[in-house]
Amino acid sequence: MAPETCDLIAERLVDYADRELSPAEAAGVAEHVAACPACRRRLAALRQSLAAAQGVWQSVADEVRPTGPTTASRRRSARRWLPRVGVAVTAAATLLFAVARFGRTPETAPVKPVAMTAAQVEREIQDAGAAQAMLLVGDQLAETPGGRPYAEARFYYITEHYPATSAAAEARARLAALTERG
Amino acid sequence: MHTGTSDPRTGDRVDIAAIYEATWPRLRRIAAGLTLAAADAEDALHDAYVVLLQRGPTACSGMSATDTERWLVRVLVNRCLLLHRRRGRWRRWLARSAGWWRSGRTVTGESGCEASEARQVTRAALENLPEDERVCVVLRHFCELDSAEIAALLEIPAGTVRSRLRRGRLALAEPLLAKGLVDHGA
Repeated sequence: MAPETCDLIAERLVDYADRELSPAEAAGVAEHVAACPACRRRLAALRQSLAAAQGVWQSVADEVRPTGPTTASRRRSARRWLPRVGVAVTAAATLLFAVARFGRTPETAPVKPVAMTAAQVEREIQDAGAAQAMLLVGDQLAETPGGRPYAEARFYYITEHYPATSAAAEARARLAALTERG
Repeated sequence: MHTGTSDPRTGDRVDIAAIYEATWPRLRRIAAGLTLAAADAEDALHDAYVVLLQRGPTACSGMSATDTERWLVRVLVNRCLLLHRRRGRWRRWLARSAGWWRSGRTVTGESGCEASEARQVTRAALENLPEDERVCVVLRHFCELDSAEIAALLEIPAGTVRSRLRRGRLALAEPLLAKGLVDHGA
C-alpha cells in the first residue's frame, strides 16, 4: 500500500473509528485497512488510546466530590493560602529570632520564654490565614444577591473553628450586623 | 444550595438550586476530563458555581435551560484551562528541578504500579494535548456530545470541531504506536 494513501486516510481513520462516515466512505476505509497492516495498527491505537483516556477521565471523575459554593471553599482557600502562610511562618520565625537575639537591652527585664512550640506558632498562623481567607469569601458572598445564607454559614464556621483569631471577632461583628439588618 | 435569586433589573427568578442539580453531572465530567486532577476539578467547579451565584441572576435571566448550561460550561471550561495551565507551569518547573518527578509520582485515582503502561502513556498524551483539541475530545468522548452540540457550545463551526477531534485523536494514538504498545486485538 502506498504511503500517500495511508497519509490521506489517516484522518478519515478517526471518523471511521468514531463511526461518523457514510456507509460508502466507511466501506472504502475498511477495504484499505484490511489490506494495510500500518493502518490496522493505527486504527487499533486509536481505539486503545480512547479506551485508556476514558479510563483516566472516569477515575478522576469518581474522585470529584459534590461541590457547591458552601462545601469546597475551605479546602480551596487553604490550598491557595498555604504558600503565603509558609512565607508568613518564615517571616514570623525570623522576627522572633531577631527580637530574641537583638531586641533585648541590659535595662529591659528579661523576656519570659514563650510557652509555645514552633508547631503551635505555625498552627496559629495557619488558622489565622485560613480564617481571614474565609472571611473575605464571606464578605464577597454577603454582597452577592442571594449569597447571604452562604456568608452567614462561613461566618459561623469561623467563629466555631477559629474562635481565637481576629477574623472570628470580625465574623461575630458581621453576624451581628446581618442580624440587625434582618 | 438555596432555592433561587432574582434578576435585579427585571425581577425574573433564577432557580440556582435547579441549575446546580441539572448541570452537576455533566460539569463534573467536563472538569475531571479537562483538569485530570480531582482537586483541580473541584476548584474549577466551585469557581464556576460561585460565578453562577454572583452573575447568574443577571446573566441567566430569561435564558432557556440549555443556554444556561452552555453559559455555565463555557465558564467552567475557561476556569479548567486556566488551572491546567498553572499546574503545567508548576510541573515543568518541578521537572527541571527534580528528575524524579515524572518517574516517581503517582497519578490521581491509581498507583503507578496499578496503571498499565498504555494508560500512563495516554495520560501523558492527554496532559500535552493542545487546549482546543483537549476540550473537543473531552466533550465528544467523555461527555457524549456530538460535533454540532460542541460547536454550539464553543461557538465555533462544526467543521472546526471535527478537525480538532481528528488531530486530538491522532495525537493520543501516536505515543502508543511509537512505544509499540498497541494491542492488535483492540
